[in-house]
Amino acid sequence: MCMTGWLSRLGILALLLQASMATAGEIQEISIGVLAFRGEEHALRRWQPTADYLNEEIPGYEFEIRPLTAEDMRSAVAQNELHFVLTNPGHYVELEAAYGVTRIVTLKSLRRGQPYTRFGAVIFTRADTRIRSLADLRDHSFMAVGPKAFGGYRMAWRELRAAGIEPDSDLSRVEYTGFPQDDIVYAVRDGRVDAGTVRTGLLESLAARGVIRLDEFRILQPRHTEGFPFLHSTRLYPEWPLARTRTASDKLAEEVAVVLMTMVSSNRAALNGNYAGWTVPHDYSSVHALFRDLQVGPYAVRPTFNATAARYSHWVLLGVLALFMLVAVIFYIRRLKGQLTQTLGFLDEEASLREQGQEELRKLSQALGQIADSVMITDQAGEIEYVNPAFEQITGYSSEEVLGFTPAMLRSGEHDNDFYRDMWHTILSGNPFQAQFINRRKDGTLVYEDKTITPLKAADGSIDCFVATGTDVTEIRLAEQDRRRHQDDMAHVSRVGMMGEMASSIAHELNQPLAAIANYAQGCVRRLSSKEYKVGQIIAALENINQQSKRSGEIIRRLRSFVSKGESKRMRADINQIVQNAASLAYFEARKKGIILRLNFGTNLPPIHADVIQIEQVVLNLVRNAIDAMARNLWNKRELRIHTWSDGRQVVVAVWDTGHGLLPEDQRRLFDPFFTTKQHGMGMGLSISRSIIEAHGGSLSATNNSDQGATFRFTLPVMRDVDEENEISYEHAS
Amino acid sequence: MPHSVNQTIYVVDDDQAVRESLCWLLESVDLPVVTYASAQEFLANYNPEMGGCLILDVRMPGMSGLELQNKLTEIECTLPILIVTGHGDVPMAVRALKNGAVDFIEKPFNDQKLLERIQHCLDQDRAQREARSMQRIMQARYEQLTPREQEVLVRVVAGKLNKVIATELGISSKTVEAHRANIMEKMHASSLAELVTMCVTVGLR
Repeated sequence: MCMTGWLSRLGILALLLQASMATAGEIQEISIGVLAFRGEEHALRRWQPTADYLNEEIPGYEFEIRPLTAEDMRSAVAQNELHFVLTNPGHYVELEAAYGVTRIVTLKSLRRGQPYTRFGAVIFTRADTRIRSLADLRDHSFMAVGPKAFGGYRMAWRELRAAGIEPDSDLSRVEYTGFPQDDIVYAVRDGRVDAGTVRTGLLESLAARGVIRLDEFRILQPRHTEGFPFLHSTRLYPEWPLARTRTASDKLAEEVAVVLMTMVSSNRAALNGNYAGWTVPHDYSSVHALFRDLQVGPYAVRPTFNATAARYSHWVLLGVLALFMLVAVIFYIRRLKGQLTQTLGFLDEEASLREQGQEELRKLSQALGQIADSVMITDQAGEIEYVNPAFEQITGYSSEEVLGFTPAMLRSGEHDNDFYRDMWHTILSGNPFQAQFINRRKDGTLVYEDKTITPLKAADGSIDCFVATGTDVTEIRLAEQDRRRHQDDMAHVSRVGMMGEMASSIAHELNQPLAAIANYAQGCVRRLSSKEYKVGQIIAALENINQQSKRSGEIIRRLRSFVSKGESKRMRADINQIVQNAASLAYFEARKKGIILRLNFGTNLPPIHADVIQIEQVVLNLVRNAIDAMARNLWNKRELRIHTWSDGRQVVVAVWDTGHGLLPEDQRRLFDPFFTTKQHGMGMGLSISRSIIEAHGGSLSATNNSDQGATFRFTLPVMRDVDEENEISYEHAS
Repeated sequence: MPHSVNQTIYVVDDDQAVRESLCWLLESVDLPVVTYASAQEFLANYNPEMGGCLILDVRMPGMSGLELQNKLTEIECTLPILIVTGHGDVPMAVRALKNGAVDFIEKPFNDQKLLERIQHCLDQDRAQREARSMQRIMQARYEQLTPREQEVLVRVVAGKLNKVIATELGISSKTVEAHRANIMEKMHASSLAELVTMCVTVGLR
């Protein structure tokens, strides 16, 4: 079991490493999955010129188009086969939720010679029917592209549902035709079906070709959207995005985005693809809203951040079990050795016993040879006397290459001297030492091992030798880092979104010092021109202007650091300072709604070890939720209090409001991704907040107050000395 | 800027810098200014004798500018109100105007516009208060008339001839004439037209 298990784990590791190492001079193949809704050939014809364009512009890579169905694309992303995907917004949002693909550019489609970055659907019937509104469609037949088509069905479905029509139960039948959508138009015109839906622009282009006349049709629930001249019945959604998967490196994704965004509309790739170019990635939250309304896609199954951790938990369990076994085995060997020595003295009488002992010894050495954990035995000076085959596999060194040397040859430079001093101190005083070691393999790569070093004592109590056993946790560590990076990305996206929503409040906040500056300056001008002034007064006013301009600068600095993307960095931090910063960002939102914000700081709180920006984000998220909860309470006292305190082991932050409180049925789902009770909002805030707090070793919870409103409370562990050491090693590792 | 001695600009804004800078600006044109950090503080110091105008920020924690405006209407305060809004607060400004605010101005202020609007408020305040004091004087004069003279006055103002009044009250025309002379004197009116205007002010007719 162990050998094959190891081989397959190493194989996965090799794949992971390969993905992150694009060696210079080598051509790397890059796959772009394209949703082939009208067949492979059509997709290739349309997108191959775009791949050719990328090949010309970005040397060192071979871009290849892979036309796929929606299901095939999903499994290809899951298997890490694709670097980029180009698909419709609906499918994109599903992939984003399931596999963390991230949009890098949005397509500018070409309709009647003009570029558009939004599209919708039109719902129509024959001009001579009695159907005049969506509600009139009850008990009539309806035609669409397919049950999962985004522009070809789901957009219309959302509008139907809003009009009280459930396609499954309220329509006499729904027919799906597939592509091309033209058939739907003809079927409605010829009376084969009562109504249908197609993507925006199609009716106009068929009419332009002279195949139909627009006055043959009646548009149901026609809408007017500025800057969008096509007939439409649904809300508009952003165009197709090109998204990167986790397989594509940051650098490559950046290059592709830049090269595509600078493409001109006269380029061969754009002409062949029938599009106008690419633009900065759009906001796809409207697509999320659609899925939420329809309860399909990511809203039918809810992903969790802890899935990865759960996936590896059995490995950790196995490792712990194996360790236990090993230690037991080693002590057993020592005991047997002693027994055997005795046995030699009583050779004749104990002949049978000896045979039995040898048999057991043989079994044990076999076990050492086949076990998956590394075993290394050194003499009391640290010189290596024995290593098992697992050690050879994990480190890449053969037994001959290490015997006679000390384990220092494996050092990676990731631990400081204190680490080794602590280790020696512990084992020389006869105690086992446990830690995660970061060593370097023979090929130069890093390997993470959970090691236990046990000193073995001779009969007189002196140390005879050291046994080091280790479990390779490199894969888990890498997966952890990967997960953390993904989580950091999500947190960043959410911060940027939050700032977007707060834009108007922030504008007001900036307005205050600007108004004060203008007043001071105008007052100075008037005094100076009337020549009735005291120099001292003018200087004081100018000093005030200076202060107010610093105040505006400070607001902008806080904003920039809040939306900055830097590497997640944990440091020693003061929770009160974090709460203060977040509160100052929220102050204006509170002021706008007439809410009194009170800060009640505990004194002399111990420091925490945290990513300051992320914790600020959590506080701001809770404060904004509280403000929203109170906005609907017009007649009650509107007050928001933030308390901080500590019990010595952890610090606690409580955000208390007098809002509408939590419904019992919502309380359970509060922290689920995409769950929201707000009209606008992604429903990601609390889910991200909880994962941030949990990644910091704390917890986040919510309760209703006894009289009115709710309290959200989170805890963070107090900083330990160890954290300060890890700060250094973590930065090296990431 | 001309203003009557007992007119003061009252500023209510929770932002200290905005408050103090506004004070600095208004004092540069010799306007007396008093500032308050919250709606509650203004209410606590309010008295009906206050004249001038009130500059009020709509967005404040605790009691908002609009809420203060409603409170002031309840207690029949006639101080003209100039509402201060941030950029894009037009709906709020409209509500304030519907509730009786004189005008609104966006932050950051253009000093010329601000001073013009304040002047407009002060003019309105002065006119209101002059009208009120005139009304009080007329009321006092009217109350000096005897009940009979008051009866005659009502009929004179209604445009009735002496003869008709005499018949209605059952007295002689001569007596009516005597009453009229007394009324003109007590009311300090030099002509019938002036007397009618005065009665409109008092609310008679």
